[in-house]
Amino acid sequence: MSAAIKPVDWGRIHERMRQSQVELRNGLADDPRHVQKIYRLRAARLARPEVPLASAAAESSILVFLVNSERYAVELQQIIEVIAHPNITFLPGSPRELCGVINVRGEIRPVWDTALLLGLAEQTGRPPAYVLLLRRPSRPCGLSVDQVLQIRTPQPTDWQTPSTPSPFAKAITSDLITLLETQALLREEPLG
Amino acid sequence: MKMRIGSRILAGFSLVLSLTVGLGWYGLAKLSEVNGRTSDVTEHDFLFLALLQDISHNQTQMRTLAGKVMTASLLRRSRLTGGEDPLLLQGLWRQGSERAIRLLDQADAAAAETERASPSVQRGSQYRKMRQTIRETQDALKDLGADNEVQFGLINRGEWEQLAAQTARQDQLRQVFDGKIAALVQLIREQVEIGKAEMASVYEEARTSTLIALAAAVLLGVLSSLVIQRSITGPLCRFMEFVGRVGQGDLTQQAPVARQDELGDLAGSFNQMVAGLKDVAIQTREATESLNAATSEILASTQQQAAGTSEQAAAVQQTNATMAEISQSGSQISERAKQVASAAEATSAAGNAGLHAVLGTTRTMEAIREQAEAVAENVVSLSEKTQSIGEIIATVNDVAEQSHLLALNAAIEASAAGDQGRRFAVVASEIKNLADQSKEATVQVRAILGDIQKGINTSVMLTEEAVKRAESGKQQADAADQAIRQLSGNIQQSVQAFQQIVAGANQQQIGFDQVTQAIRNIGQASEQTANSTKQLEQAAANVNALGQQLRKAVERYRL
Repeated sequence: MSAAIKPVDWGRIHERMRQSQVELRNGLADDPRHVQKIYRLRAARLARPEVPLASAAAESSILVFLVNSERYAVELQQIIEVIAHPNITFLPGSPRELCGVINVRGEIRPVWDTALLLGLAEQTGRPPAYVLLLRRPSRPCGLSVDQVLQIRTPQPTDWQTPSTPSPFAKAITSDLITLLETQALLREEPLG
Repeated sequence: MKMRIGSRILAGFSLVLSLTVGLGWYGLAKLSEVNGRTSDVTEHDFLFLALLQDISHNQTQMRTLAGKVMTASLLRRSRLTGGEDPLLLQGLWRQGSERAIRLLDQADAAAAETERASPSVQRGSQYRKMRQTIRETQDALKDLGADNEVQFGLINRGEWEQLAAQTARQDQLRQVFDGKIAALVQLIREQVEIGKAEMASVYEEARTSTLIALAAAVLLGVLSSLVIQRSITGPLCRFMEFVGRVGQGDLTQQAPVARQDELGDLAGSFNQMVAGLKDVAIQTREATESLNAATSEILASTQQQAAGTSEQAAAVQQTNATMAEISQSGSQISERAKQVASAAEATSAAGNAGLHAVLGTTRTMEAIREQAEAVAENVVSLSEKTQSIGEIIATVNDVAEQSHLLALNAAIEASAAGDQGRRFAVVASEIKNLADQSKEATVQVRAILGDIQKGINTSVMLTEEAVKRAESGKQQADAADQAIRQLSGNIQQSVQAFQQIVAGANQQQIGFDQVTQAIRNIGQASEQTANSTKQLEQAAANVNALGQQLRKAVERYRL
């Protein structure tokens, strides 16, 4: 141990600790400065012009989600709601693609394994993270997804037709988000 | 002569001895004869004389008694007192008379005995005569006795008139008796004379015969001794001659062993002696030869020894010088050792101080460890508190997510509602904003929480490390303690070792002194050796000379 040992500046340490304590106390105890800051932020936000979220072509809004780390999308109009961490009851003897059923406000709805429907991967056995409740002619059914990302409103120029025609892919955005054709996807449901 | 010398001498001596003995015996015989004659005379004649004297005396007494009787009776008769009893006196007289008779008988017996035993005829006849006279005397006595009895009777009866006539008769008888006694005396005297003459003649005869025998014995003795001497000295002279020749050195001859007596034996032994002497002479000659050879070898070796001694002296000098050097270095070592010992003492003191310091360090390390453990405790409890924050964050996060979902669903509803849903879309977007804010906040808080946790972990790690360092510091302090103790121990050992070195050096010094002394002694010894070598040389030369002499001495023996 040839290097000289720096003497510890306990004074400075105590100073810093005292300061942080003060900050904490201020932060927790509704420091007027903080409160004023927040009010100003809120006012600024309020003042912000309205973002025409659903103004243009609300019909073309899509919900982007992840299945097996791939980004897919479904038209917003087709979705009733998004359910997080559902309690899916498995039906014995049901087809492979059927994860199970869930109870939505007293109604039993089927949940399909999107990955299997798309033919992407093996059955994981994991319960899906989210379920998209889709509007169907017969009755709403759910699609299992891993993660819900955002609502986008792509311009018509963003869309590209896939080179290789696929029954499930309606279109692809420029950043490779596959818009799913739910009709085709859910046609094979034996339950209808 | 075949007889041995000893026997010869013995024979000669026995001859002389026998002659002497014979002579002596003869003399003794003659002497006894003379003695016999003398005793014959002295015993018998003088005995006889004594008896006769006794008888005379007795007669005198008796006559006196008879007179007394008469006197006493007369007194009695006159009735005068003071006289003795006549009867008593008469009794006494009778006793005397009996005694006289006995005496005469004795004389007769003696005379008879003498006559029988007398060696001389003449004396025998003389005694016969005496016997006759004695018998006559006895008769006279008897007569006298009877007459006295008559007288006593007369006295007793008081017939004094007849007493006078009787007295005259008694006188006559007395005279007769006395005459007989005188005749006896005379006879005795004649006997004595005869005896004397006979003794003289016997003596003469004895003397002459003894002288003759003596002469004869002397002559015989001389002759025999001459013979013996001749028989001895002759051969002895010849033998002496032979011995003389041997003495001269002639060991070639041998003595004649013809005889079978002592001289023959002597010759035999002498021959053996000569043979032995010859052997000795031969051996001595051989020995002198080897002695000469040996002395020359000794001379050679002494010369070598002398050379070696001078080398030894040189070596001693060198050794002395070396010893002095070593001794000096030894004292230097001793000095150094003392210095080292004092230095070791100082080091030991320093070691003790070091131990104290190490002890202090150990205590400090302990304190640090305790502090570090306290810090770790605090930090861990802090960590546990952050855990609760994490739970809260999870709740907030959940709220954020729910809000997000709500916003999503709201947007979906708004989209589904179409135009009517436009205002709701604003609300939905606000909700979404809020949800995003919450999420952001939670993300930030999460990040900060993560940092805090990391910081806590780091603190715990650092504390652990600090404890470990304190531990290791303590171990090092212990190691230092051990090392210092060992060092102290080693120093103690070193001190002891140095003390031993000092002692050893002192011993060494003593040893060196002894060695120096020993070397000096060696030097002296080598000087002495040199001297003694010279003496040895001298002695060897002497021995050589002696050897030569011996050779010369032995040369004269002809072998």
